[in-house]
Amino acid sequence: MTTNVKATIPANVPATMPRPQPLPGRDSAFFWDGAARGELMGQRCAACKLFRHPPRPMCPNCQSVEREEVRLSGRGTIHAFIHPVHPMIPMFDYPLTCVLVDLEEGIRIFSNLYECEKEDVRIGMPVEVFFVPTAGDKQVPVFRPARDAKAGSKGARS
Amino acid sequence: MKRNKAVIAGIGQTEFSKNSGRSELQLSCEAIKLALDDAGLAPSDVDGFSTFTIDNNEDVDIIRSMGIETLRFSSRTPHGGGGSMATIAHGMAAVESGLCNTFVCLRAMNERSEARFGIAHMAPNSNNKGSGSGFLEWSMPFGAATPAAWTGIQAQRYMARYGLTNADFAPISVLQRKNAATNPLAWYYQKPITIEDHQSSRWIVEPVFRLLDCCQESDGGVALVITTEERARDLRQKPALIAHATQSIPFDTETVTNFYHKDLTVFDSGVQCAKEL
Repeated sequence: MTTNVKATIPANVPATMPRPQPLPGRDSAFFWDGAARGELMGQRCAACKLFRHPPRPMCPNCQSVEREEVRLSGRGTIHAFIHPVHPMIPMFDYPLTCVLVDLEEGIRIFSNLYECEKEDVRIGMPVEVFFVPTAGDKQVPVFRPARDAKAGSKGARS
Repeated sequence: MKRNKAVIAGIGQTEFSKNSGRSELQLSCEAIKLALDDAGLAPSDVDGFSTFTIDNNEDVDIIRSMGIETLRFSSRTPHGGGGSMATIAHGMAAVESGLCNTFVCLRAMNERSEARFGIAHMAPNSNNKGSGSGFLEWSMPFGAATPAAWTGIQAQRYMARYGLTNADFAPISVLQRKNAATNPLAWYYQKPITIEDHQSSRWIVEPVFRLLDCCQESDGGVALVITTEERARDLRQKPALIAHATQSIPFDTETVTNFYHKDLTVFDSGVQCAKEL
């Protein structure tokens, strides 16, 4: 049975195993802990306030190791996308869309897009975060077309 | 002018197959022996060695198997396929600096029959494999688990920027297969492909890569022997001078995925290498 989100667009080939759980490291645990709570977290330098992703222990801009873990808006736009078709991994529903999202805070995050037909995915499309379960009772952040941006804007938000 | 110009004095390769029927260590030893024979050198001459991080052969096992007396310099270059080419820069630096006299660059793997990259790797510990940069942590939970998927993101952005389709990639695969088909040891020796073959092959990652955009995964081993120009005068082959070799690991790039640097349509590592060379 699938543990993936019950998407409005049914999968042609549904997952037969749970989505793999994230494997946090010491520098990234806050991100996955946040996802498990249903919060998209970002890392910001406490000194120069630069956001960075993926997380890392030192700020590449000012070399400070002091950092803040900040809840992000979860809104962004699609930077690039693909639909992996082979090999099909039994932990995922197919068709599958992987997206790189430019978040409002100025960092990029890799994830999945749901609730959108394959043919309708576009670079620049506004998206919003939600969370889907994984093995081990964890969650990961995924995206869907932004519900508050139906006015037709295709460009970057904010 | 550098005093001690580095040269390639010998090349060895096993056959490339879908199942070598022998261990990766044996492929290593065979490739190195062939390269040394080509140069007219013996294993006891070897005193430097490099391969890259995604390779399963340990220096000590090769030394023990081949009868190498001692290595004075040994290195591993990081990353995926690009790391294999960087071993030449290490060999050049080692012999030109005088650290070594006879340096071997190696790559040997049962990539088809044992550890195929095109099979999605979803093992729980895959986060810590390879060079340890952790890029799998950010792609595996989202179903991107093959090189085609990891590199497809950059390619999709590139296609969108320049208005390309997958058909525009076909000539690249056709040319590479044309070149590979001249190697009697290649699996597809004398079997080039056409644009039509490329376009009728199945999708691997839509709308970016078809099967024939992906490299043929093969079992096999390759080795080069690098030494100085002066020493190569007495050896068996006319040496190939290494005009220069370099590595590039630019800011905000990753091992195989490249999702975070400023402009994904530019291959920063390639640009930097080109500038150096």
